Amino acid sequence: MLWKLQPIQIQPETIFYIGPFPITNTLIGTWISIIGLLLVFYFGTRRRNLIPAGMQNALEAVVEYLLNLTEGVSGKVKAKRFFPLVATFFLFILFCNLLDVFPGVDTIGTVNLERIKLAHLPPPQSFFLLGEYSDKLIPWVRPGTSDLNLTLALALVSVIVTQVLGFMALGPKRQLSKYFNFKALRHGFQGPIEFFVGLIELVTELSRILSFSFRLFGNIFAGSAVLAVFAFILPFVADVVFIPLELFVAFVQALIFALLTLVFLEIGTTSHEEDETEHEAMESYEVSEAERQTAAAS
Amino acid sequence: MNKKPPSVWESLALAGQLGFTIAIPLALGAILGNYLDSITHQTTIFLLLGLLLGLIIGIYGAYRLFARLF
Repeated sequence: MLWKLQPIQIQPETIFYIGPFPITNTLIGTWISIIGLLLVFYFGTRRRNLIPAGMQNALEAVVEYLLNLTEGVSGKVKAKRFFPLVATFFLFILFCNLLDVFPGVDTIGTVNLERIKLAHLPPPQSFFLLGEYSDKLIPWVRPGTSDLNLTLALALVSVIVTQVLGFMALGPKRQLSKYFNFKALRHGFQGPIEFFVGLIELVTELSRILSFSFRLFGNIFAGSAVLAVFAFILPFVADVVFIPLELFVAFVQALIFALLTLVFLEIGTTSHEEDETEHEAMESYEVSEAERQTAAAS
Repeated sequence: MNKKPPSVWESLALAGQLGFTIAIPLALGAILGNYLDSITHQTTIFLLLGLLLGLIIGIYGAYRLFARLF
């Protein structure tokens, strides 16, 4: 047998320990993504010119696109508050996902001596693992978002920030009355139904933790599994098709996570009863537009 | 409520959320119902009630999402 398919397992492998704290290969992948993100933005914006060129131009285009997206969903005023979180989500998840298609990720690592012993094989002699050895590898790096722990953490941040900003924007009384609508109980026949709808609202809020984390994890984990399987079935050829697909999936999943966070932030900070905040946002938008026009005219 | 119709990406993201919105409450309702069945030694009554509750929550969540879209 020329080569064997790598075992596809959901839980990340522990590479080493720092004290009692296990360092998994997905954690290493996450830190590589963070360092890559820092390096790109540090060197891209180190020398800032008024007329951007090269790397600075590209990064400014990305940030401007994200800012326009945020303003398109939530208006000028709220966008200032939402933009840092949403843009960070997008860039961080994008860099984590893109690690999926880098050469060496999932394929460079240490030999799993236990499994070699179990298969009654002599220790491998060569640097490349071929034949019976080819599926007995512990990869050093796996993309961070192919670990459910990271995506669950991101989903928790997203949902908790939505609640916190909701409390800040609406005040504790109105925010809590979204979920525990005791006032509606006085309304006669429809009251209990409205109260029940509030509880349903609470369940949908909480179920978002699951949907956010599982969508991102599922897509990226399945993506790396697809790459591994097709590298096994038809090496060198099949992944020419699937690596561009994974690039697209990486982009789309990052954008969807950021956009859904943004949309739910927008919904969460808008009151059910009155669209007062919307009104204020619209007014201040018009004021700033008028200011810009007078500035342009003078 | 919206100033302008949502962009293509926003619609796509919300459409992607739709399946989860229906499926997760159903699954949670089924798990909860099954658990209640096992502690009260019933056969399937709580499972069915849990599924019904999950379905109601899922449909309501889907309605809220589409109210946002259109």
